Amino acid sequence: MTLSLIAEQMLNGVQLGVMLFLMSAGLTLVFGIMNFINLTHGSLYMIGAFAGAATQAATGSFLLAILVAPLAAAVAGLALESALLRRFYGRDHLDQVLVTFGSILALNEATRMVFGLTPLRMNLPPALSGHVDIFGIPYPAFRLAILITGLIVAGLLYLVIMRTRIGMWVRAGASNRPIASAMGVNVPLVFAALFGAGAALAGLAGVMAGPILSVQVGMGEPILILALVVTVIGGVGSIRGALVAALLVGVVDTLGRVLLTPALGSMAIFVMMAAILAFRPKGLFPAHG
Amino acid sequence: MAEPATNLSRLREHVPTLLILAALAATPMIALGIGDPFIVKVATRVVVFAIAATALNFVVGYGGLVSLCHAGFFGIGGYVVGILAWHDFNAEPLWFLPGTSDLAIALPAAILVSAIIAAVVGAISLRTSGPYFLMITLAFNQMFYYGAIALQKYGGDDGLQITSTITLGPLDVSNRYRFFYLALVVLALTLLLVGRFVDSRFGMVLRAASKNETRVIAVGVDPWLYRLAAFVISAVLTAVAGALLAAGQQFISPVDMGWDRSGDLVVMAVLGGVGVVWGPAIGAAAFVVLELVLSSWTTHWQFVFGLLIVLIVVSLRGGLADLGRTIFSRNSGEATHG
Amino acid sequence: MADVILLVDRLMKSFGGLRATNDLSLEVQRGECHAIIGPNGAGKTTFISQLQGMLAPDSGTITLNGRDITGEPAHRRARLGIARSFQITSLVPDFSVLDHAALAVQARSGHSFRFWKNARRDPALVAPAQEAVETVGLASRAKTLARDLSHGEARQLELAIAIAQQPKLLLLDEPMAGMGRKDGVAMTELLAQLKKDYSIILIEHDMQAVFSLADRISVLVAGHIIKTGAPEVIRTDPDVRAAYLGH
Repeated sequence: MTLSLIAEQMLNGVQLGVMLFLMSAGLTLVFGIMNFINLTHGSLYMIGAFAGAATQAATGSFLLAILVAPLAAAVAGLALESALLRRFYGRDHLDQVLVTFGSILALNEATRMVFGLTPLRMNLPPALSGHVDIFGIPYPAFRLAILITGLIVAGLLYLVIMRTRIGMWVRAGASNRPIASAMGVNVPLVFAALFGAGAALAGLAGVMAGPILSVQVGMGEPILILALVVTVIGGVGSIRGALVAALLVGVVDTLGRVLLTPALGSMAIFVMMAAILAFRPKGLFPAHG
Repeated sequence: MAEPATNLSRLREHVPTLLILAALAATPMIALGIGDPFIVKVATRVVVFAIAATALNFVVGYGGLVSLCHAGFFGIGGYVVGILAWHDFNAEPLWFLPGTSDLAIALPAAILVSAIIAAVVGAISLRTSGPYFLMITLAFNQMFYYGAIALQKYGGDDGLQITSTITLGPLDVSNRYRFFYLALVVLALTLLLVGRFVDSRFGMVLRAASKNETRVIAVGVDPWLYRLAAFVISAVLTAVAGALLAAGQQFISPVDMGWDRSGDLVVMAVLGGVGVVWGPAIGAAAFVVLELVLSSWTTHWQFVFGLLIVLIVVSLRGGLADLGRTIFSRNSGEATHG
Repeated sequence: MADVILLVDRLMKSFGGLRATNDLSLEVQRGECHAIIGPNGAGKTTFISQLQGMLAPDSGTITLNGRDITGEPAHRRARLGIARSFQITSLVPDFSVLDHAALAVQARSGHSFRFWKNARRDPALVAPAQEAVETVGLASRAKTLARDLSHGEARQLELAIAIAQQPKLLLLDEPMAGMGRKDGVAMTELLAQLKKDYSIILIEHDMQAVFSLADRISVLVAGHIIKTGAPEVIRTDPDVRAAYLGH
């Protein structure tokens, strides 16, 4: 009984891990390449969730919601990037924190103005509302679907980054910024595209979390901070590090909340981060020499 | 050479600080004059956050270390006071120690606890630098936040009400006016201390290291320990501010140590100007008043506020202090170095 | 030969496959000005960085005044008497000329955990700092912020900082880099003054300056010293001409 509970929580942990990976991928690459700490990444996650919930409420289609969410987040992300954030790529980190902090406040409040105070609920499509048996453990079908979708997207992303020419550029840029600017390509365009792609992934993570958590203002920041922890533990700019760290954080966070009290469990992640950084200040897989 | 002129310019350095303190000191009289005690409440809030923002500026403006865990230290100070008062009120010892509602004991306790925690957090965070430091301190802030929620015995999520009467030695400071002046004295001390520190040998190392670490190492100084010391000093002063907040409003809760509150503190510092010691105090006043005015104007004040922050970062790089000095120096027809 | 201030023994440093420092051995006498010349990419700055301690060698030893300092971090080597002026000027933009020198004085006079007294009004710091600033000829610019200095002045300040450290060994990495002719001549004169008081390792591309200043010259090619000798010996050495001066 306890063993199956732990097994179920392990699966939940992996599922949180893949979602964190979707969040961290954009964060770590944007930071690695543009040297920009994008605290609005959590807002993009929230925008994805709200866009998804609103789409489902309007059309009743869950699938459409899944498609609209990353699109909406990408559009919002691109708008934010081109109108404001791109001016801050070369600025010091204090300015970056301030401009994204201000943006978070404004975006959160704007969302509240549009959708009100009550959290939105996303309903599960009937096909995914039951349970499936995994090694004798009944596991919610939707969570399994998230897990699989997340794994597929994470796998695709990993392949793109590790195996394609675009991915090679991105990796080169993340580990050596001068190369990124010497690539001879349209750098602002590449930056925008990367930002947009990161935003889309954040939006996807948001809408997938929708049916599990409630869709509400402020949902983005806790996940943002976890994603930052993932980024730091994994080594900034490293996609492989992000993957490993995301799974680690997902599992530790989920198990911690179950085995300890929720509040103490939430602390476990940060204790783990402190322990890892005490020995490896640049994270597990440092991308910058 | 021109000794009198030097003395005069030395005096002039202190004018803004003295003006700030004088203006604040006058607020209770205004409150009494127009019969609105609410003003004192606001002024106390201004003073408390001015202490915290000044303390934060010591590491942000002079150390180049953008810490996002200072709300955590703020809360730690508050919880030390709250928990000691809780044990005093419930006459239940804390392990073997009796509780207390006396700030003469609670403040040193808050200083001690925050210093120890800051030393550990700083030692780990300072192994990294720049953006990593920023992200790690943000994560530590979250750890403190959840830590406060985990304190089920002391209210958990709901926060901790202080039900005993707060004293300072034999002095009852539960009186709103008296408490305000107590906080103001602490602010004056904070401004004095930080003002001294930044111009001392210690401060020179800290400032040089923030702009060019290689240079500092090349002349023979490892900045690490200096940064750690600055971080601890800053955390301790912030904890004192938090302790005062808790004692003043008879309440402390995890909300007071959320990550967004850490962001608020950075905004206050930058809004006022991180280049001068007295800048953040102005920033804190502007922040608290702005928050008050905007929130009375619309429930969606945070939207306006967020945009305002963005606007400030885009346009006003030296903060209000620089704006003031620019106007001032234009009037007196002299150039100043930022 | 008894009075050797710096002894470098079989120093090695690789970056990936590139051997930037390859079996480099060198002896510097106390009081001499020892120039290191070599073509671009020979590994001169890499070598200086290892002497200063910003880079750790893969193997080999560095001995200063008979003491093995290979494992010492840069800040401790500075305290032991190594001062470096950087090829690419490394200053604190919002510090004045005097502040820079005072920082160096402060660094050599014990720890800086002194919180109360104003450092800029401390005669114990200001007086020696002023002296160093005057030595390099920057007295009239003492209160000027580093970001407002001309290139030549910034190079002078680099030297002032190094002098203020009262080092036993000065590492000068292209002190004339990017200077015009006039500034270059002034700098050569200044260095001629300094070499009376300090042991110096000088890296410089200006051959006229090198041959007039150096007591001995070592030629560094591909991370390895191929020849050490007096200027007139180096000038006429066929190997050196082939490897470096010839083209």
